[in-house]
Amino acid sequence: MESNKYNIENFEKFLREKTDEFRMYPSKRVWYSIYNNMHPGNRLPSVSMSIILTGFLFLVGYLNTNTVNKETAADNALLSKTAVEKIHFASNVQQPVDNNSLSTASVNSNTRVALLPSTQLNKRQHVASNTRHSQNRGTGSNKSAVQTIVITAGSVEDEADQNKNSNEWIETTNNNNENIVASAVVITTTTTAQINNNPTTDYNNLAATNNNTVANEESLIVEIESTVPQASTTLNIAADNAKATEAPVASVPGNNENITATPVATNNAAPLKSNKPAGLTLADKAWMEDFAMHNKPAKKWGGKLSLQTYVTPSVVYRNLKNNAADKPLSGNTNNNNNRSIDNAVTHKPSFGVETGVSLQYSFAKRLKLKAGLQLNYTRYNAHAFETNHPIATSITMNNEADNYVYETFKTSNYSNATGLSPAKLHNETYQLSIPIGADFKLASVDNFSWYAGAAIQPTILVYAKSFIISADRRSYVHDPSLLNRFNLNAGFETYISYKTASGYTWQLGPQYRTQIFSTNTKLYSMEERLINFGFKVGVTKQL
Amino acid sequence: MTEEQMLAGCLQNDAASQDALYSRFSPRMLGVCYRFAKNREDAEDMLQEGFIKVFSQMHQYRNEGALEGWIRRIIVHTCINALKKNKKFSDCVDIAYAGHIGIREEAIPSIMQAKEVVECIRSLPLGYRTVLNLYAIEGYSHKEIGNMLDIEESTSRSQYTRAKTMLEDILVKKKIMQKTKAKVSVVSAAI
Repeated sequence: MESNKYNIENFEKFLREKTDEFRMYPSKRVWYSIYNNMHPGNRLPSVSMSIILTGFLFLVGYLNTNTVNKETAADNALLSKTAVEKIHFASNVQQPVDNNSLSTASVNSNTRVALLPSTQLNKRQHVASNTRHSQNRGTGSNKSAVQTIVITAGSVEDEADQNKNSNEWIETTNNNNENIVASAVVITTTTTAQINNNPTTDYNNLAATNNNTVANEESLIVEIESTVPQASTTLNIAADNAKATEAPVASVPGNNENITATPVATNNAAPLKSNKPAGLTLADKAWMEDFAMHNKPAKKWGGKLSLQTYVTPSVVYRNLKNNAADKPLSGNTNNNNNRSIDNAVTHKPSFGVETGVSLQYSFAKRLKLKAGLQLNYTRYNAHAFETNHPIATSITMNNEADNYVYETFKTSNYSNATGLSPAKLHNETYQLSIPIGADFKLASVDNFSWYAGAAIQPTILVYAKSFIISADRRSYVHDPSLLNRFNLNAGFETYISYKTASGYTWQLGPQYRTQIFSTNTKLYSMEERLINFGFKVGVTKQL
Repeated sequence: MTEEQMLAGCLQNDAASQDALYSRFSPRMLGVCYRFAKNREDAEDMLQEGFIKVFSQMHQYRNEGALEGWIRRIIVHTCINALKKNKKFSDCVDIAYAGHIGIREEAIPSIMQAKEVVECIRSLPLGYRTVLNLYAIEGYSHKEIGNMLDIEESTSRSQYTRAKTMLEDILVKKKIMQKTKAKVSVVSAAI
């Protein structure tokens, strides 16, 4: 293409003119965001949200990790005195036992376990009416309606003689997005449109005047979108009594052309022949009005969905609560129920990890909802000693219904006090969970964002190895049957995310997770809740 | 509300005045953003950021020149800053030849001239488009563009020349412009 054929100045001038005529109407979200930014006191503050979120999660954590609720325990003890059953067992002597007798005893005790296109025009006009007539938004009344009168000047040949008022068609829409199109409507002679074009000018200037005869409540917003002499002229007339004098009149530089449009009652009874070019349907017109609206991403979720994969190495602590501390144990004066469990055992935190994938949905500009699938591995260690033979012991069981505790017989190969050789018992669990939660953006600078998030994680136990302390605190008993198969975790995290140029978002931050329910069933008198302090590393890709 | 009233209100962080100012200028400014942005959503983000700057820096406006021009400069700079955050942008601006980049001519509607022209501009490669927007439409010099985009002035010139050639081709194909020996004539779109 030979560019020297063109007059460069004309070309640039042409571009400027055309791009100046181009307008788009932003969505309400933009104004709301600006408003929130400029008036932070009038919005739901993110800081308060984060404090509430944090407070809630710490409350959950506190309630679930508090070791002894003394008041409750004392009340329970008073209530249970009349319901004590006696089970005698010499629990303070380690001795070889007959497996047959033990099994009988166990059985006896265990018996207690009963236990297009056209909509784009509407959107555009809707936005226009909202920005200018917000007090009438959504009323659907006549006063809030926006009328667009399109006067096509294609048939006017003489530039000086464009005082035409019998033009083509009127589109009327209300701001409920209901398109009411009255094509080929006559504008009666009381509506005048004076268009004085000067071929040498670049722009048109519009002036809108009110007609007092129109129920003295209509003013005009006149907007010209194409002013080339041979091109069509579009007048958008919005009626609103509230801002009659304030309604801004669209104008562009240049005063050599004037259009005066005065609205009066129109006669819509007699349709006229349209001067629209062949092939330009109303749908085309609507589409034309705001082509940009079509330019949104075609994705069904509008780019709001993202996939995250993450891993969270953590340190696992356990919190033990002895439910039997203040409950009577029938007839056994030598029991250690009142002895502090933390002083009786040597438990050390160990390594844990969470890993999984989650789908995130940007519910709002600052709020992301998420759900996924996660594998948890938890472990803490109990320091014990191996014995050279099984020893008889018992574990304290809890009877919630009658509010007393009893003991059931077990055997153990691990002593908490003495033994042949030291042994490290790994209390570990493999869990599969479905974290469901939300992340809230607290702040952002450039590509960095700071989030706070919370999640509830329904969990199923896949595999576990659990050693529980005996009633006399002298032995560890391996009894998987006492494990809770289903549980619930609550997680809280805060993290910094960084969006890379390649479209991936990395996140780093600490995470706190706690179990809502005990690792063991309610049958076992000791409540154990695992607490994880981890550091989450994740990468997110927008779908 | 007059412009003076709006300005006075905005200086006092009055929401109604800000709303009025925003309502008056946002449609055209979004059109500006849209020419720079990848899509409408990005354009709205740019507009949002730009208007926050406008309201925050309103005290710096000295009534010298048109308010719209002042707002427009802020918006354009916001758009450029937003583009520069994208690492790929500098590559796009610096490429010497963009012939391999396809132009989505089929996506351009031949319905309305102003929108059509804007869409033609947007169909240009990012680097071309940005330089053309800044030079031909916003009126910045090549030196200023070089400073804004962190490129050489000569690069800006060559980018603009190529962008102009490419855009002319598209406009002629779309019959928006006609080739004449003396000048470009505008083909009116009779609607």
